[in-house]
Amino acid sequence: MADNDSKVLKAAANAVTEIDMRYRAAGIDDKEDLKPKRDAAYDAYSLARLKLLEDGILATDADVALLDEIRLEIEEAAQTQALLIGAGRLIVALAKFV
Amino acid sequence: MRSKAVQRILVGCALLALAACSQKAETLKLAASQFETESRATIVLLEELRVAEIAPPAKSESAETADFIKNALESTRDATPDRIALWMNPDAGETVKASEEWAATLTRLNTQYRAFANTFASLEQASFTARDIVKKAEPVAVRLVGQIANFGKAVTDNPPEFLKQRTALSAQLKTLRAAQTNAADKRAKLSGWLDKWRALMQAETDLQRRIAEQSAKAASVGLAVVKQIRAYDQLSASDIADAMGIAFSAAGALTGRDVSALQNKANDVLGDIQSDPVWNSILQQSLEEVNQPKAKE
Repeated sequence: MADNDSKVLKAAANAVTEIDMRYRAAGIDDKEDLKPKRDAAYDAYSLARLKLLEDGILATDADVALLDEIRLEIEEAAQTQALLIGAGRLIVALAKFV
Repeated sequence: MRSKAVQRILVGCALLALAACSQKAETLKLAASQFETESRATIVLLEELRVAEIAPPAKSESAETADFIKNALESTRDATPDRIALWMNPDAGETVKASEEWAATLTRLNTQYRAFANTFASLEQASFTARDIVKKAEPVAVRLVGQIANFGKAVTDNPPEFLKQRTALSAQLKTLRAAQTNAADKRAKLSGWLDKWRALMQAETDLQRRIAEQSAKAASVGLAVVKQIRAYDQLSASDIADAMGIAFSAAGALTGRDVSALQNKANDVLGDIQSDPVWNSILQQSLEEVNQPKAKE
């Protein structure tokens, strides 16, 4: 997968170089006509570079949702712990009357 | 004996917020935040890579003026705002689709690392109660570490190429070689050109190195986070000893009585806590661990 995407990146780089050298050698009006193709070649290269990076992305939106759930659970646990600390204080307070 | 230990734990937890747990929670929270910082620094470098590969060489205002004059005189077409922009800077370009997709991907990545760090924001307040919950983040943490390491590898395997700057220099070289000037002048210009080319190669290598370095840094911080998460629900004997030691001495000092005097009152509170299944399982697990050092006595 990554090997293939690596080849796509190289092919895109070659296409960019070829069209950009033609573009630079052209007169200004021809440049104007060539510009959409040249932009498209750079666009394709940049997308190929992105694809290579995306091959390595492992985490998903589901993971973000899970993290959000865990965060909420931790916040709930924090409240429980606060209650427990309150309970401990109560024990100490009551102990004075034992 | 068992219920007495329970009271001791409860009193210790409540009064002292379990120093050992709290320290562990703080360490994990800080490490997760550091992981976010280092990862997002890597993502910033990826954006630098995107721009550098398609950006034209820097252009001065006077160079823009010179180009405009040349092109305005040469063109046979009517001047329009778009055309004037092209005449000023024919080297500029647009990568609309790629720019959008890059932005979406980098935003998604930033969101992931921010969400990860945010997960543990309240952990210090839940240092004891969230022990089992923290473990759920382990698989996500592993994936986040893996992917930040992958970015470094992808850029090492496929080095950056500042394409537009490369072609600009290549076109300059073509012109230089074809120019009808004397040999000495040509040699001097070729030598100057090579300096620029070397500088460009150096800039590419430098960005590759910075990405690899930052990605490795983020991954190593991330790995430390994963290890902490994996061990988070296992309070070590010394964690327990610290927490219990503080709990016992504090409980005694506070009341001036033996801890056993609190037993009846504690039982009421304990009953409430045991009626909560989550809490009960946490208590049972803690008990098993606490009973280990006790058994040695």
